[in-house]
Amino acid sequence: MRSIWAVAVNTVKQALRLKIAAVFIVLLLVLLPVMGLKMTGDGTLKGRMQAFVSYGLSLTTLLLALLTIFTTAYTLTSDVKDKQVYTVLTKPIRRFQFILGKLFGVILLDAVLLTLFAVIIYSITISLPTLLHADDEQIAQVRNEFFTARASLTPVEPDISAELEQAYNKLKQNGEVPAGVDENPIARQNYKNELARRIGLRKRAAMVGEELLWEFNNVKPKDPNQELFIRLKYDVAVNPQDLSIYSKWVIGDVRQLHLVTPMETPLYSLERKDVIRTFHEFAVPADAVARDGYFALAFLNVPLNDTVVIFPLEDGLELLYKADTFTANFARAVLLIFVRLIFLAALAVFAGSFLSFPVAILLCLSVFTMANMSGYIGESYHVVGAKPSGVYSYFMKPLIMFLPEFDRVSPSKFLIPARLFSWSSLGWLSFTTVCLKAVPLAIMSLLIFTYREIAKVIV
Amino acid sequence: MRLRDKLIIVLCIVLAVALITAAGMRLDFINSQRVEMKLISNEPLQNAPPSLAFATVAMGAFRGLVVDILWIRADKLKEEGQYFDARQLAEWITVLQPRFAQVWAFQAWNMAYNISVAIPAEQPDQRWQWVKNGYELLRDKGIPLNPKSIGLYRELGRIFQHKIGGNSDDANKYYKLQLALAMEPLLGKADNAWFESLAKSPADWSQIVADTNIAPFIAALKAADKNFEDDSRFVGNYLSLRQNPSRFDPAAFKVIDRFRGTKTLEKFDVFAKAWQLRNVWKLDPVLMLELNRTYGPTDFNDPNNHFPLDWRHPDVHAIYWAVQGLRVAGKKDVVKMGRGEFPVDEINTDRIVAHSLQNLFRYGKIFIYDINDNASLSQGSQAAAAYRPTKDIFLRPDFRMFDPYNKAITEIIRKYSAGDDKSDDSHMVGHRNMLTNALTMFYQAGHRAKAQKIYDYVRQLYPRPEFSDPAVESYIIQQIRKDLKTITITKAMDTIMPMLREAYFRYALRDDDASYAIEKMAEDIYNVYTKEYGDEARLQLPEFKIMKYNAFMDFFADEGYPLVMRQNLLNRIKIEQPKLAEQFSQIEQQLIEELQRQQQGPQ
Repeated sequence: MRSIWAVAVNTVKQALRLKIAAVFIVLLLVLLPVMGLKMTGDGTLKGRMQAFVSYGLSLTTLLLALLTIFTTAYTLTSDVKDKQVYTVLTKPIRRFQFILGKLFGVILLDAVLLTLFAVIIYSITISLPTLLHADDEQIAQVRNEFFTARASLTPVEPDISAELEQAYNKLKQNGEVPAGVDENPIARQNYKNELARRIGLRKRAAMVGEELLWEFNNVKPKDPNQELFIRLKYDVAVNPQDLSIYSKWVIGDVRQLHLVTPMETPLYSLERKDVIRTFHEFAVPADAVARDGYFALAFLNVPLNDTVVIFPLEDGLELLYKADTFTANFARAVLLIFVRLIFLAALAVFAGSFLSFPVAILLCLSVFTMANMSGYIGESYHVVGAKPSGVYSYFMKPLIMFLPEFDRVSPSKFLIPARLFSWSSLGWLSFTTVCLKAVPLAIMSLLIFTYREIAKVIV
Repeated sequence: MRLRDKLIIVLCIVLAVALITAAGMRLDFINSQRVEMKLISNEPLQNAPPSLAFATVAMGAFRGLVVDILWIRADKLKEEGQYFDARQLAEWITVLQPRFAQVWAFQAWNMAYNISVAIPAEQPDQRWQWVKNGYELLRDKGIPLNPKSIGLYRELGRIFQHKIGGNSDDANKYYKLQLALAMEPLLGKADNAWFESLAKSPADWSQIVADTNIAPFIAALKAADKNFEDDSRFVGNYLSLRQNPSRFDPAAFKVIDRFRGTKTLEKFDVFAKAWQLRNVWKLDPVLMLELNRTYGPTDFNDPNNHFPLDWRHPDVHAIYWAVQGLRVAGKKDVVKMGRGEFPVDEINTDRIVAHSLQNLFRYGKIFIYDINDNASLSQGSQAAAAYRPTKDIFLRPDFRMFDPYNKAITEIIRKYSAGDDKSDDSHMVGHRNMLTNALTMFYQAGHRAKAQKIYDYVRQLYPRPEFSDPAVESYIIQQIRKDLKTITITKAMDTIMPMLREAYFRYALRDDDASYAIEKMAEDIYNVYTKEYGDEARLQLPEFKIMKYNAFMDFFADEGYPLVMRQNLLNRIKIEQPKLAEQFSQIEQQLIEELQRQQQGPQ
């Protein structure tokens, strides 16, 4: 352990001597406060804070990621190239200890720098309302819509398996299932998935004058005096002239409507008009939640609409409620960045264990770019053709699966809309990124470096 | 070097050469596609600020990549319903693609139309910010960098005409009000003399400073308050001082008091307002004056005399930008070319002028009322608590705009018919419809002679069977009969009642002639209907005086109108029409008695 620590400390010193590290650190120390004061966002206090946190964290992540890749690859490959490694490996230190030392050294450096920059970003963020002399209304808005962490609940999905089987059998009997689908298990499953999607959509569609009831269980707002937020998006069968949907909502424990006893929790009723295919949010008092955590939203498609209203499957309707603080959410966001840096350090160690510096950098940057565009790459292949090419199926797809999906869950994605990023989500992401992706890379680098020919013995 | 290594090197070289050759062969096609899609501009970037010039050159070939990333981010955030970064991204994208006019148009449209409506209509102030962001992006940045792109002028005109001037947005009245309130302080007396003085006013700060009469005033203000030390902010602060003296050192307002009534202050005031119009609103007072003379409302007594346009109105701004676009970027050599040679953008820009003039005829008069009552707020809604309107705006027809419209559309039709024998159908159909609507509106408003004149003009220009009778009265009655042929009793009520309410509204606004004419028209429709269906008891309308009373009560109970306006109407009726007030009182009494009888049931 002492050997690993010695290499780690040496790696940190080596990294700090690199000009690129100094440049990145100075750049961040200068840019972050400037961004805090200069970023305007949409002009509102909330928008400014959102823009600062988004760009601040993104910039920090980018520069620390580049620093990690460059430092790790450089310290490892330069030691080999400059033959420094001879002096180390002739000491009572094993090759795997050397590699682990390099890895821990970079991770240690990342931890220190990330903590420093996270503290700067956090301090600037919470000081912005004071620095910008925000008025009470703006402060109340950021307190409700930014300095919080809202958990998200989606409505209880009805069990459609029986209905799906029935629909499939009926189509089969009528000879409407395309040829070859029933015989091929994969094709059959794909066909059933599409059918399930259609049934699901039908259940989320309201004809004119029809009502849809959305039920939620286990709604546990921290404080009944606070507010719940309903986030929704409409799709329609035929576009209305003004591209808007009129609606009537009854909100709360609607089970009480069937009881003769006095109501325990209030029911709220409201009318709205919202533009289609755009997200909208509205607040309702949290005291509408029943004691057992039941909460319902009844939506009425009023005759004025003259079209079928559909709540899209993925993001048509969500219930948001305050479940944690901004500080805790921010801390988890920083840990998420740290997990990514660990992966990049392992990747750079892996690349440096058998490649020269420029090639190792090229490999790491390619992987880093792909990890940041994994969703886009996947979607592109999906869009280009229904039948993906062999290159995609046998090379790109496994590669993408092995890569971490940095773009899928990024800190900005939940800090900006004040969404809760739970400890369990962080735990799962850490497990998949570190244990399933970084550790195998580190083990491979250990194996490669252990058996690599560092110098030829010439007798 | 081993043979294997040599082979690999040779193979790589061959592969590289093959790929470069293949890529090179595609270059011509790609370049031609870039030209076809107007993705390149050979004209050098002019008037670009240093930061823009640097951004467009320094990134070199990576500019496209950065632009792509920004577009992806903008699109992704939009999909997620996050707009905090939309304005910044739009600015960056347009900075990197400054000569790509469609990018400016798209980003402006996106902010004004898409992002604005994502904000609840109960927060109109926040919506308005996005509409402003949209038109400011085009007006302040897009057009100065692409002065020859007529599409940008059209898009800017469309935002004023359709987004602010139209009623497709729930917050449209708020937009109109904000524009009117922002323009009002700059319009002074808003007569022809005022606009002439604006046009003559110096355009540069250096010119006004050099004026020996004005210099002492400027020096005095600078000495009175530090806010006036910076020349670039002097005018803005001066206008702010005139509106909100409390924001400044009392000594500054004492300077104003000292110069009050002098030519010096009067001249500087005109300069300040012209400067603000030029530099903030990007409106050239010379062109404003010219537009007033061309399109301003005509004087009924002297048709050659034009009053100034109401620059508080969004459609006037739409006309300004459309005309500016046509002058700077339109095709001028009209005689030599056939109608097909005009670009669609130019045709649509001319349409902006024609439609905005139509709109000014239909809704050109602006009335702004203070709201002191809380009754007009919707009860119980959170949003009402967040935004409390203090003023309300109403738009009503301005009949003086008919002649300017007619003159302008005639010119446009001539322009697009020139060069060949084909008539310009699309504009002509619109013109004919507008003429028939206008003659009906003139007739309804009591301007029978003008209605007859327009009717004669329509008959001559667009001879059709429905215009066979030479008398306009016959045409109107014929139209009413035609409409009433298939009319139900509900439809008849729906036609007459709003007309009566409109008559009371005009009466409340002291537009008595129009009020009388509209009421008369409602009575005419009532008489035609009663003559047609009077025999059938089930189809009978209530007595006209009861309908009038109901319309009055509807108007009086409508919280959409300010309480002050409704009280004014009641007071006017009591004072000026005591007979009508008495009649209403009797009807009310009758109705109460009838209700009591019904409640008591049959004896």
